[in-house]
Amino acid sequence: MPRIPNNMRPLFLKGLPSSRVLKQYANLNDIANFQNSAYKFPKVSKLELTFKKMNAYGHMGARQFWKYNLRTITFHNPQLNIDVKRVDCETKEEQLACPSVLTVHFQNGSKKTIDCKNVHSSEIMNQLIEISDAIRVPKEEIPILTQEGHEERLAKA
Amino acid sequence: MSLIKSLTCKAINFTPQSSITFRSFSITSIQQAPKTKKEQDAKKLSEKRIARKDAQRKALAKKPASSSPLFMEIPQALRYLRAAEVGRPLNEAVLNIRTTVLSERGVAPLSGAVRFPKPLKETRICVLSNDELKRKEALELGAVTVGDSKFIDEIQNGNVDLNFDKIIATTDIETSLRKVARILGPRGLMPNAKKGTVTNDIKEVISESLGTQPFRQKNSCVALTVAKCNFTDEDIVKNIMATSKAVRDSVASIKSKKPILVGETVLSTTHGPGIVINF
Repeated sequence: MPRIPNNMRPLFLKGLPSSRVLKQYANLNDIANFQNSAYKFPKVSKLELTFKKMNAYGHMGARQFWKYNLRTITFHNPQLNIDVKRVDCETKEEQLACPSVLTVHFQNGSKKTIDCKNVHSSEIMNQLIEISDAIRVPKEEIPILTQEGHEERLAKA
Repeated sequence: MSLIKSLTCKAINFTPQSSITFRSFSITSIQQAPKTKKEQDAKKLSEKRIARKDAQRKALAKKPASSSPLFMEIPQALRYLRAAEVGRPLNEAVLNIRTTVLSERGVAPLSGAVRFPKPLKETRICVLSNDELKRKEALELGAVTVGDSKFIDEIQNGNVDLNFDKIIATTDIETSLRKVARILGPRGLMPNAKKGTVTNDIKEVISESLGTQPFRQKNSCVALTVAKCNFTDEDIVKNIMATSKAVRDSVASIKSKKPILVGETVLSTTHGPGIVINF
């Protein structure tokens, strides 16, 4: 495979290493440990995220939250029920009226909502941590893949 | 001898009627300039490069999967893949397998079919027969319900929940089926010899309709969908093992001078990363 020159690399490769294996390690580590997302939610029974399919009118934060933060939340809470609804709106009125909401259902039956319209994904995450009493996953429990780790594993075998 | 002579004479004396009916062909090859040394060297180099790459691929295929930097145990890999597939619709979030198969040039491509322990799509089959042995056989093969002529009477009375995808009947019960044609027909369940659902060879029809996933080698790869993300770990592992067995069986069935190598296997999802697993 020929190397892609730096100025011509596609956007999804931005900031990733050029080696095939290291790039995949970076992708996998992003799933396991996205910034400020490795939390456990013992009090939550269900997360429900609703947003519009296109970014316009303040729905980008919710989409990014789904794309990055929600993956890591699923990784550390495999039993948590997560429901994502992406609404398809055709007319402008519908698009303006479409809500962008994260609903948190608790174990005791109560629920709280976070309005995600015009809010950055990191801010949504912060609010979620605050209202649901999330517990940070300790560093030792997050599997992070590195070249050194692989060499160690080979040496053991 | 004289006959041949006369024939050749005729051929020599033959004169074309028009230029359209007679064409002359030249059979000498086109003269090409000899290749320069530079071109010859370049060709040799590219041949060497291809040979080196082939040798590399073979060496990689002989190594165990656990030596790959992207290797993971299946449950751990599924944790990553399920996370990558969060919030996607169920029919979109599927697990795929891709296996490299290294064979010599000219060997027929690998092909076969897998019968999954947990199929991707459930098909409910009902078998109707007066023969007790056949009913037993059908249940073993994976039919949901079996019945005889009493069962048909119950269908007529409307006591049976007709939640089937297919009803198969044997020839001995076919005549008594006519009274329920009005009930089964509109649902598309009526057994019919033309459709192949009235037969004495139940085994073949059931295994055909229970869903076998065909696979085929393409560019030294075998790729197929194995499971859905919402299956349990146990079901997924069973399906992967069934696939492995089917691929190895079809490798064994192909005749080749040199052995066909089954190399690295990658488990992946529609939107997720590829992870090397034991196969």
